[in-house]
Amino acid sequence: MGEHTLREVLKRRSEDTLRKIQARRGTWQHKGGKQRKFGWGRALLWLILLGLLALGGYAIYLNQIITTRFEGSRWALPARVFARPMELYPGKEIAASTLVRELERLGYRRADRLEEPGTYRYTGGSVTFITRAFQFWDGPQPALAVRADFRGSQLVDLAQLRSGDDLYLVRLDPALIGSLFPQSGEDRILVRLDDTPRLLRDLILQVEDRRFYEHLGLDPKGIARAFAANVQEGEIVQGGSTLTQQLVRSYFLSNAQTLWRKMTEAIMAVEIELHFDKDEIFEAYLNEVYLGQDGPRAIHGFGLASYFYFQKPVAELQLPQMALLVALVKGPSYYDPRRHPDRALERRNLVLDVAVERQLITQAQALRAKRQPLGVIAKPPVGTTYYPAYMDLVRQQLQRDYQPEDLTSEGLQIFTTLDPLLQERLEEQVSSGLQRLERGRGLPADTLEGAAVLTSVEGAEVLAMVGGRNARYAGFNRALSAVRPVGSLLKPVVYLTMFEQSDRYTWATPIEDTPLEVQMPNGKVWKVNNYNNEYHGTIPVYQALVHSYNVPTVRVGLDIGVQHVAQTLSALGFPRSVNPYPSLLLGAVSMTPLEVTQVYNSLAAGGFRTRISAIREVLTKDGTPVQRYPLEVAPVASPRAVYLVNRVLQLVVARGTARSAAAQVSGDLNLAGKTGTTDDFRDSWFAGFSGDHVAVVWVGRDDNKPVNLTGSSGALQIWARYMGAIPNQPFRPVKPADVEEVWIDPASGAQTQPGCETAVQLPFVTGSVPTQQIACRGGIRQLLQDVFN
Amino acid sequence: MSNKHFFRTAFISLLLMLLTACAGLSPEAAPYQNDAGQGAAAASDNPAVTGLLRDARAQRTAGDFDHAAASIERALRIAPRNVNTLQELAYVRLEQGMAEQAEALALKANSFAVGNYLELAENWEIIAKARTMRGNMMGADAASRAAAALRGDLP
Repeated sequence: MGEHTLREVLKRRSEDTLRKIQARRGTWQHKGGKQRKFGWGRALLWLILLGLLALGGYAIYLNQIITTRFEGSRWALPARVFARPMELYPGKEIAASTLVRELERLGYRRADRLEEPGTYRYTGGSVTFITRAFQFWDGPQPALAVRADFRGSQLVDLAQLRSGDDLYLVRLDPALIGSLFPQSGEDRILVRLDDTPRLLRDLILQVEDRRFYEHLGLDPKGIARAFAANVQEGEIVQGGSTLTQQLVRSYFLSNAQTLWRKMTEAIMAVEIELHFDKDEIFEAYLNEVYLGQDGPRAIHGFGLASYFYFQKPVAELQLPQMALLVALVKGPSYYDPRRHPDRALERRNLVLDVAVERQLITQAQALRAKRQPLGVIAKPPVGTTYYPAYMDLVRQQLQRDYQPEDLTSEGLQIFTTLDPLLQERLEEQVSSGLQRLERGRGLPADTLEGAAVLTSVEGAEVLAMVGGRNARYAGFNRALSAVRPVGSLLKPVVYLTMFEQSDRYTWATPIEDTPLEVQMPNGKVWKVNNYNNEYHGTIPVYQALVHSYNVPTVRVGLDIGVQHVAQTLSALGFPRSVNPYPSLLLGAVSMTPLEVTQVYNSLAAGGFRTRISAIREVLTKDGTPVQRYPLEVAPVASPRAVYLVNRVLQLVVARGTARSAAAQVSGDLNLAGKTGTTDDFRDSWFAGFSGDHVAVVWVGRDDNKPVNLTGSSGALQIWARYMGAIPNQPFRPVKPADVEEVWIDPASGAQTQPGCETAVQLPFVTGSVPTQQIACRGGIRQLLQDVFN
Repeated sequence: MSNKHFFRTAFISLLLMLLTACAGLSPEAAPYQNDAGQGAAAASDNPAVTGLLRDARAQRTAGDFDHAAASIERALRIAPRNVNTLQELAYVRLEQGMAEQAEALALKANSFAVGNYLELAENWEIIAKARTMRGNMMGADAASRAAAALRGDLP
């Protein structure tokens, strides 16, 4: 662009000069024929002089461009986003195969002998590997050779490979999950010259510019030699341009093959050589050279190309891989190893031949390398990201603290909480779960949509997120943006408020489950109905939560005050204001799946709210810490009241509206949760938790039409399969000192014996335990007792 | 007589079989399982957690509170209910002057330390310090008295 305008300016300038000269010549002509010859000579001299002056000015101008644009930070670097690093320690619940999968994801290479970082061996019950050095927020972590021994699905022993010394904790390098960069643009991972393998540098120099360290930006000898070599081979083997010229062309100029551009390139090449030393120019070249294309994203530099083609850092490249990257310099599109593997292979082998000829490698090495396949990973790591929904969340959180241009130009390193293993399972379960629901219910294919979020209980870190049935599609992110009524998901909030606001209630308090009409302030009458219009007479109030009865919930809510329920909801972490209308009690409040997750996370964490977060740390491109998002907790509900509610949420899963989960997930996990269904079956929700995970699933349609699914028949089915498919700790809430667990007869709410068939164990605040006692009702044991008596 | 005895035996056997079968249905849905103090006990013998806490203490001593907090949070990710780890973070927050966080963390530690008087007393002492820092003298006094009572309660 700049070059174009400049060229026009100069063209205009020389035309002006010419016109002036012609005008002057015209004057001279009037002075008579004698002086005509002398006048022409002078004019020519002037012309040359002016031409030189113009050229000098142009050179100064170009010099200006070089000093302003090439000094300091040379590239706009997109922020790089990383998954959580996997932590390994003795006692961790992890199978050897899971570790191997993580190492593969990180691009570690399976090898017979461990010699360098990024390699591993897997034999029987143990995995040995050499980690890559990595700069974390808390400092650099050197490469480490490790042996991990497994028994069953547990890591039992961790030791240094060479010394055999025990290790108590090993942190793997984190997987790169994407970049934040402007809509279309260049992408690169900067490499330092010193971190680039010697052999790769030598290959580049020998193939592209043998006399790089000798010439001054231009190399006439090199051009001649390249010309000769090309004639001899009958094809383009070597380019005539020096590395400096290639750098100038790529960094400053367009690709147009004009004489003017060639001249500009030459001037700038020399000028760059005057300003910077050879190593600096070489390093810039390594990072600038164009090596591939990924849709709108241009792959620049060996650092990114190494990931783009082999998913590993340059330091780990093998000889054939280096040769291929060097081969690509000539034409990344023509020699694209994914689209034209034959061409790429031929060119790679040619590079290997050059390497033998220049004595960089032996003939034997070359032969071995030539026998290797291209080894290019089939699908490049997706440019923006493989996890678009999760990246939306990362971007949203970063936008609170950073300017958009900082995120797309400063090369920040963002360390997130994403767990790729849990993420992949969630994607699978949402996608297959929606298909299963459609088939099972005779719904048209591809009509259901879904979203899901998984967080850690105590840290509230977002471990996985799915924004739609196609997790690869970066479109409407339902987990973040679909605002839907939550229905019965709100009932736990009502009962939490009940325990916080009043000591008149216990779980055994009798309550009327009969049709109810509420006189509204505006004079209208609100008819409260149960699901299926079934009513149960007088019941202990806990049953209203276990079986999601509407009428008792509304009675309780109106008694304790709707505004208090609204306050509890806000305290648990719902960020927007809530209208305290009575319909709130039945979930007439719209939330996103992420907002629901926040509310349930506060419940799971015992009444301590931690703001949901996807980011742990931010570092500059050189690894200098910029920011950390520390753990912050806020006590927002009484742990006792939360305990009382959570114990009954466990009953929801064990024998209430979510009992069908038992087919998918072990009862030993003591999961807790709640179904949510909205009017006309438009939304199907399930929110629940284990000891270490909170998961929320929403199923519905984008056009908000009925899906004819309840929370139980829809979202729960996905939730339960997912919870059954990932490692979970059992949910074991810690019983507060002033709470007692008592066996209760469900029908009467009276105390009964532990063994009674229908009895449930419920928590009571000391002093509020029902005094009424009742014998077992009609159970088998009762019958047995009768027989023996 | 013997016929009657046979039927009686057969009937009881059948009932016992039925009972056994029903036992598999587990009538005791989600029985309470005590987890009090388990976090603390389980974590204290986890070498990863003790190692990280050792690092954190060194960082704290060196006045590097941000790194100390980061090490402790790493330990919390491994054992989130560890009372001692929560206390460590609360101490770091106290030294950083973040009294509100210190108190919240101590309260959270309390919820996992049920029945463990020594730990509870320590938590209340942290709360007392945090409240003093925030100028809530009455609250601090109440917390101190709670701690003293717990220490006095020790067998």
